[in-house]
Amino acid sequence: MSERDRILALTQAAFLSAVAFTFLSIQFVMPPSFVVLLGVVPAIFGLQAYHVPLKLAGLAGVLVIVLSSVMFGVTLGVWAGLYFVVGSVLGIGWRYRLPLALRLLVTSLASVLSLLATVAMFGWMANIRWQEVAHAWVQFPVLDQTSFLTFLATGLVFWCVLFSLGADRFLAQVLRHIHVDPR
Amino acid sequence: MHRLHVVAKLLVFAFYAVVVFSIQTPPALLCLSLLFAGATLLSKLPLRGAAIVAGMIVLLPLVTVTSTGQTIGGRLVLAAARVVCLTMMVGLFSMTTRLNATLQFLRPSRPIASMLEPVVYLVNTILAVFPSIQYDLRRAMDAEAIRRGKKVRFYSVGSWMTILVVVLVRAMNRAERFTDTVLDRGYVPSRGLRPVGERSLEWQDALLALLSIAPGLAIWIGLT
Repeated sequence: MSERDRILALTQAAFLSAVAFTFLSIQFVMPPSFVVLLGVVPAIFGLQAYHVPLKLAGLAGVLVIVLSSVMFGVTLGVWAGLYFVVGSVLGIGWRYRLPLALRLLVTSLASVLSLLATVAMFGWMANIRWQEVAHAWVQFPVLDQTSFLTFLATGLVFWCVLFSLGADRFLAQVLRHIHVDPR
Repeated sequence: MHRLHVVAKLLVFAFYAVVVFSIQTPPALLCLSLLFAGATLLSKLPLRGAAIVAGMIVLLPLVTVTSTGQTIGGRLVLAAARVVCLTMMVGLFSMTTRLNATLQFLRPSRPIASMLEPVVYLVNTILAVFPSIQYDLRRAMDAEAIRRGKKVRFYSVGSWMTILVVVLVRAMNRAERFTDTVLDRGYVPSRGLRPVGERSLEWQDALLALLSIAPGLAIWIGLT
């Protein structure tokens, strides 16, 4: 890799991280219809994992999580972690050109597992046991005045659709605009 | 003070940091405040917070005369004097030392630096471009609202896709331009940043550092 390519990869990772950071920071202060953004942030992480060396994408993702936690609080940092996991799975799926069905399955599995991990993390932070989750989830500080299930279900469906079925077309559109070879 | 080597300066300031926290008596703190104020003025630097320094210079003898050093008021005055001393000391250091000279001295070894380089580059770039990306997003959303010809309260998925593509394309284009600018300015990752004119520590620096430490030592030994 030449010096220019190395700096370009670093700069692209930084710009994509800044885009993810921007969407992440507005996600929880916008009207509920902005729930579509739930799919956008992981997609940007996915684009990053597709676009730059995997080690660098991992480093950039971890830095976004750390920066989100420091600048916007641990809650947002946890969400950033969830998106990072799903986005990485998606990006690796794109990178190795996995079949569509497998990509859908893997991304959905990653989404569900990371959602469960997030719920567990919030539960642990709020000192709520698994048995009490059903009664307590509506009282999560971060999800005040929103419908938790609608929030998650819409996001999950949107992830599946965006990541696995429409993602290639979306990515191709972006890449056609910038005229660069992703590899 | 301006010309003292950064290593000598760091040693002098480390010594004075220890002195500030070690001395407990009002006269010693008074002398130290006067010493720092004098050094600031001698270095032709502005004495920030001159009113507070003057207040300390009045209050510290008062505490000594009335022997109220152990009362709450007296302790507060001593604590405030210590803070004033530290502020003057840090101000003196920062105003007489270039940041790149300090960073150059604190530069980690080559293997550690090469490991940290991507982290530093990424963090700096993310934080530097974050406001402009926010601005880009705002502009793309406004453009979408204008395209629709009315105030948009809820953007559809299609609108979001348009906004996202605009933001991403702009970000990737700017990343390329940013890279070219970085390279044009002579940054080569494998070589790192090389400062121009690296000055080594000389015996004059050591002598000047000893002379700077002497009054502090005298205050420390004589007045505590």
